[in-house]
Amino acid sequence: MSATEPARGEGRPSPRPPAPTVDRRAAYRAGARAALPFTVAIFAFGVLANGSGFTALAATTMSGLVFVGSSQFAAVSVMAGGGGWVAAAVAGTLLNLRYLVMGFAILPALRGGRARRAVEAQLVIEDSWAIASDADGRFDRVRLLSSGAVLWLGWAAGTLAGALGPITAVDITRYGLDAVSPVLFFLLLAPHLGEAGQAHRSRRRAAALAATGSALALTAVGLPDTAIAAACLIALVATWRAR
Amino acid sequence: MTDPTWLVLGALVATTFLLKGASALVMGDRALPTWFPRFVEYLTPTLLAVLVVTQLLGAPGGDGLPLDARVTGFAAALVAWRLRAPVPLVILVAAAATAVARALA
Repeated sequence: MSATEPARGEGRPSPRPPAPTVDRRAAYRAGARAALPFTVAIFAFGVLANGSGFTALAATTMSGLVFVGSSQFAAVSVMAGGGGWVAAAVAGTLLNLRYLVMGFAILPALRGGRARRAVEAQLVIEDSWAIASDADGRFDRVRLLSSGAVLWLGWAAGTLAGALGPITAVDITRYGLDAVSPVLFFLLLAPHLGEAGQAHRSRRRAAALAATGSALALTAVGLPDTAIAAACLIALVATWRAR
Repeated sequence: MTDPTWLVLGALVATTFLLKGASALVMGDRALPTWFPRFVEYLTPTLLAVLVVTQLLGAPGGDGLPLDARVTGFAAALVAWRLRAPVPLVILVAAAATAVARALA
């Protein structure tokens, strides 16, 4: 029913016990359900790629294998603007640098050896990473996998549908669907601001507020892509001060 | 065949795989430093806050702060959320308010 439900950690004891089967199933469902609303704008990339010289096959392959909307948009926009393929790949890669940090954060939740964990980590995108996160700073592997699978299927299928043409970019803005993802990220953020009496509540709020302010400032001066790096710095400072 | 779209695709697939898998590939079975969980506790809210801002105000290739109809939709959704509306309703409010604000503009 709710995207906040899994992340809020209600009824989830804090030092996490090994999850019994029933909890596991519930976590699978919770992850998949929380991912669904994020699939409202899945057609956008196919529409853009189609208008930028990508075949439907190339666009869908890209969505299936890269699976990072912002990075794909950046790469395709550079090409559409007349840039070369190296410039396009560099732009897309720079936007993916945040996955370095997110990958380390979620690593303790992944299972198996090096190779298997590297493969499991491919399902990490902002949405699934946020859905898998618990307010205590840990991550739930089951919610990552189920939400990641839903998002991946939706993203690949949506790109194909968008590239084949029945939907246009105009429809997405006409129905206000571009306002959905900031709201969803806010709903995922809210439980991390802590409930009354929770440890480090005020410090967490201060860190989130500082990150919001710096993101606003950096967007205002035309550098929105550096806001993630600023957020990492803010989190480091908060960690340092919480010693 | 040197279609540049496939060159971008191949390059981006490779770098994305390495960036996403870097933690597992580099760390192997070694444990992360003890301060790391605390760092993540702060990292999650800060990254999510950035995502809210960039998703709300960002425009492809756009500079500055284009305050468009999404802000109206976001504000309306916040009100619905404060009133404890269920999530699907909050989302509906966001989309509807954005669509109306855009139609009126």
